[in-house]
Amino acid sequence: MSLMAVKKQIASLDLLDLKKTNLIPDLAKSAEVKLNEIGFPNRKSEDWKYTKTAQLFKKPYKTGKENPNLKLDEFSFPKMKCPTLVIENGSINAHLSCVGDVQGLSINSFVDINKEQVEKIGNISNKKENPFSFLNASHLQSGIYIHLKKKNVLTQPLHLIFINTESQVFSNTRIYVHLEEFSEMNLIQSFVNNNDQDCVTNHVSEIELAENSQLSIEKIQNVLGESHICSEYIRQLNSSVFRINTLSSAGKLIRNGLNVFVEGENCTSYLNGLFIPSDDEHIDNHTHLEHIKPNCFSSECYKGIINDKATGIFNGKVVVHEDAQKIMAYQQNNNILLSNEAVVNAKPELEIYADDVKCSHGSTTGQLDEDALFYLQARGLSKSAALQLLMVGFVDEVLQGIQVEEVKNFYSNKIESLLSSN
Amino acid sequence: MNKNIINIKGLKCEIEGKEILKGIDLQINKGEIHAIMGPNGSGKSTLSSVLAGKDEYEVTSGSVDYLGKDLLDLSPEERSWEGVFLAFQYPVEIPGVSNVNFLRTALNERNKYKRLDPVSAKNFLAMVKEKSALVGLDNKLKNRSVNEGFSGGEKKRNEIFQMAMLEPTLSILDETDSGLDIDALRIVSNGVNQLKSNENATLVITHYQRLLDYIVPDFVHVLYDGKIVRTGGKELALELEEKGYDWIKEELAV
Amino acid sequence: MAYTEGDLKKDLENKEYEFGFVTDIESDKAPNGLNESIVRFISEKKNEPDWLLDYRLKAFKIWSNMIEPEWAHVKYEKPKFQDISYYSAPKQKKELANLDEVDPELRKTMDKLGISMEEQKRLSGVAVDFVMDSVSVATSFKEKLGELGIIFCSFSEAVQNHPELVKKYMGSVVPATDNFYAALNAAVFSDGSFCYIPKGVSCPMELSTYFRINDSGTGQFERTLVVADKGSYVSYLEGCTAPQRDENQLHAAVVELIALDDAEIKYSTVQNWYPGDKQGKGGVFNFVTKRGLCHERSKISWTQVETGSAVTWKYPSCILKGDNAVGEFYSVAVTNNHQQADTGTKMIHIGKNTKSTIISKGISAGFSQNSYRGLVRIGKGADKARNFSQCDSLLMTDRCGAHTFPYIECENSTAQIEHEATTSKIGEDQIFYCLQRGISEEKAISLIVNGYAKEVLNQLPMEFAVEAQKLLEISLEGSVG
Repeated sequence: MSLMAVKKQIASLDLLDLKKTNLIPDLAKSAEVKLNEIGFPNRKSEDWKYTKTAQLFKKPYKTGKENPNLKLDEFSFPKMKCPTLVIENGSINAHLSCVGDVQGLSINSFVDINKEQVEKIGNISNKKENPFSFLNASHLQSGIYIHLKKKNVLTQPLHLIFINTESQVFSNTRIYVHLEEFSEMNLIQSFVNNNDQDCVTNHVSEIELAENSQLSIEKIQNVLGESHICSEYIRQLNSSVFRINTLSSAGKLIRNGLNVFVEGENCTSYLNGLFIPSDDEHIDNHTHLEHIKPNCFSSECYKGIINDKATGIFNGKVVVHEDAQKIMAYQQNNNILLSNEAVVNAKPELEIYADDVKCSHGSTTGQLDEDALFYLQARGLSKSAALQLLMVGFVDEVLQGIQVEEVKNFYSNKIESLLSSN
Repeated sequence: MNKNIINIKGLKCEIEGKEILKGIDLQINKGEIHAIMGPNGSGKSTLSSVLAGKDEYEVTSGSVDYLGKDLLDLSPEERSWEGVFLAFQYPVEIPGVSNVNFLRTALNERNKYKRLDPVSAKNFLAMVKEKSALVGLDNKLKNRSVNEGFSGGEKKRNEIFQMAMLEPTLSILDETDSGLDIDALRIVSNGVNQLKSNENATLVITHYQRLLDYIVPDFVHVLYDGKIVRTGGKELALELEEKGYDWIKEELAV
Repeated sequence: MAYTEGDLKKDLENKEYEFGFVTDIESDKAPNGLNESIVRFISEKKNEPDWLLDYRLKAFKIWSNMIEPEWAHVKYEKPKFQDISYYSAPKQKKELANLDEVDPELRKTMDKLGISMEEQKRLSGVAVDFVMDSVSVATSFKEKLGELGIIFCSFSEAVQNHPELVKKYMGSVVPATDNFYAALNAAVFSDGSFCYIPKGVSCPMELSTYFRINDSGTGQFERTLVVADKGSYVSYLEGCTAPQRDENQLHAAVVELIALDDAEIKYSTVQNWYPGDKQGKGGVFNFVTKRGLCHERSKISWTQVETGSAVTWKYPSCILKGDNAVGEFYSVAVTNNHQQADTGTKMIHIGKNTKSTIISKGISAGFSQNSYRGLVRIGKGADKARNFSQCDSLLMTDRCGAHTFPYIECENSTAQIEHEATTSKIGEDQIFYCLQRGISEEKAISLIVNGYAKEVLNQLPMEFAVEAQKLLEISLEGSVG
């Protein structure tokens, strides 16, 4: 796919008016230059080996408008009265958002941030070259800056709901999250829609975790019929803890690019994910974790259940730099194929340049344990009930890692209903 | 004739700046069995590691004379060649290396040091047969990889089997009783007792008195907070068993 | 290797005439550079039939339009393809008669390996083909094998005497279009080994080829073709060495194995090309394409011990085409100093109930980079296919690297794939345990490394296993300070 062709299809999008912001026009400009330099992924791009994006640009896209009748009940977590921000068709919907006043927390549109904050944007995402992230910067529609001050520990999560309410919408949104020293919060990012519509979301998250801060992200992707390129860039400083659960239950084409740069000592990182594509869905999870400093721990666990003609991909890379001694890095990926037309591609990679490390990865692809199935049937469970139980057991490890109780419950139910329909 | 095997004087050592041994004095003569007892964290295992030459411990002062040599000056393998044997509390697994290959390498390396001929295959096998009977080591374990997949008891028996093969002058048994059931304990102790002679000595490090029912010590030392705070005969062990270590702690506090 | 300079000398003295070397030594080396006329020169030199010349010329065209691959995790200065001589027959007598000219480092290695003439004599039961600077110079036991209908000869001989077999199978597993180095090889290969085991015959002895690059400024481009007809069995060994040279030498071989129904091929390699000096100067670039095709119920088993070469790029693979076929890959790769290795396998499951096992043990020391790269692909029709992969890396110093790049592609829901990989430092507690038992550090490391690699070493025929163990020891000498 040529860059020209891509640009043609998104030429009519409304972009964030950079003149209204302090945003250095350089961000868009330098992204444009970079994009021209590296081009769009083609067949030979190793990082995009299993995910072809050319089909995304077969037709033109537009920017959607606000829909006055939009209801969000089914997407919010009513039991938690958590601050919620709604991004509809790529723009902040101020009417539906309810942030309230949380101590230490400030949430601003990129239009309203100060120069110091402006200068941070793009710094972390530029650590890795991803054409979609450059496209995001050059065609940015809206941005949200989330800042949590020193020593503030939020009891309620912050919920960001990204929803597309029209068809043929292409949105480029970006968030920048900055947690100062000793602060802690949970962030829920829900990507949802209310009907099957052919949209593309190209979302970038940049996350800066100062010393001793802790951030957990629950990332929910339930975007039937939509395509979703979602990239996270995380920078961890000393003793910070980062946790993300990527829960992808529906989407025509989902590509998650999770990039963690552990630049401090004594850091902890948990990258977990669950992907359950069906029909002809395609879900690709790319993780890239770099240990740059010694004495850190990271653990990665991705589980996939692939049905129908769907494709599931896991490509996880752990890099341990020279001198990053005493690293423990574990990576695990398990996949189950439920249909004979389903496809799994897995590529768990280790790149190790330090010697005093303990790193391992394991990847399995197969079916549910026949012996266990038989055991359950022998105890009187029907085959389908037994299968369902085993699948719930299969994903349990990831579900248990979800930090926000209500998300965990919501997802457990969701998965049970998803799996029982098989 | 000098009956002395090892003479430890004012031994102090630390790990990562923390002092663990705070001045140990201990003399062991030929034919003697010494027991060192003490609560967790008193420095028992540190003492055995220091004597075996583990390099993460830094000796800050004191001396260790072993058969007229400065023990602290010797590398771990030289200590082994000179007859110091440590039965590890947690014997290490070495995948893919068979027990017999391991021991034969060990024996030949020592023989090389002592300018002796390498042990012949025939003699070696005869020796293996004889010594493994001592601790009832299962024949198949001898050909398995060193300690790999061994149960706790098998590992400890294997340690004593190795001790029998290497015929040390000073054997240090570090918590050899931990993880052993009563039968295994008897077998292991029996092996140790049979290896005892007037020319060698044994240092038994243990938390419980139980082992000392089987390996009867000539001297019992109580190690507490990096120092030997009390020395006595085997009756001291019984007293400890009865009263626990708190008694010592209290007495010291007074 | 199961062969020494001394043996070579002797063999050459005996067989020189038989192989018809011309006395004009100089003319046996092609001028440097590669073009169509060099390809013709090689073909003419070997008195090849037209179909083979055509094959070479086609391959040369293909190669000319290809670019050198860069995806491997290795960095090196690309060979200057026009500075290499693509054909060199050994200057037998003159040079080989003088053992002093053999570089002392290599001789020391051989002495350490304990390859004495006496030991060689005892190693009967191994038929050896000796390929030096691309030309096969000695094949032993030919008669004995002939009685069973086994053909074991140099590739050139096979072209002359068994053209129908060569024509049928050459390029059928590794086509000239396969990759840059395979294309290069197809254009300029000068010799190699050929082996055919007839139906139902179990080859009674190990067949062995010994490769050696001797001349400077030459590349080695040999081709090996092993065809195991239905229900037959063969165990094939391959060894390689090269003298110490400051320049990088190119070795781009192609090995094709064909296991017809119910046949089994066991292919073992002990690769000890010159790895370059401690500063990383010189050494062999080992860019090799090895692949086997398995028909129904057949089995191909690759075992490799890789200790040499400056840069290794090699993926012995199995195409499990027939139902119930089995593919195995056992590998120990040691890199020290500035060596780089990117090696692994591809297991392509096409038939039903196909099984594959991958055991890879990497050991990195010095400043070296050691990568495992592997592909397991389960095709749509490969019902109940199974794969198990275990890739471990051992790190000896804090300046080396160990990397794992497995690709797993599954299109069948009844397949089972398991992949495990670990990377860790050599165990300090293990070393201390050995020290306490009176085993010196160097010996301890060798014990531990050999134990670590045992699963793979066990796959080698006895004589090779002992030798491989010693090689590991030598390769890692002084690697832990």
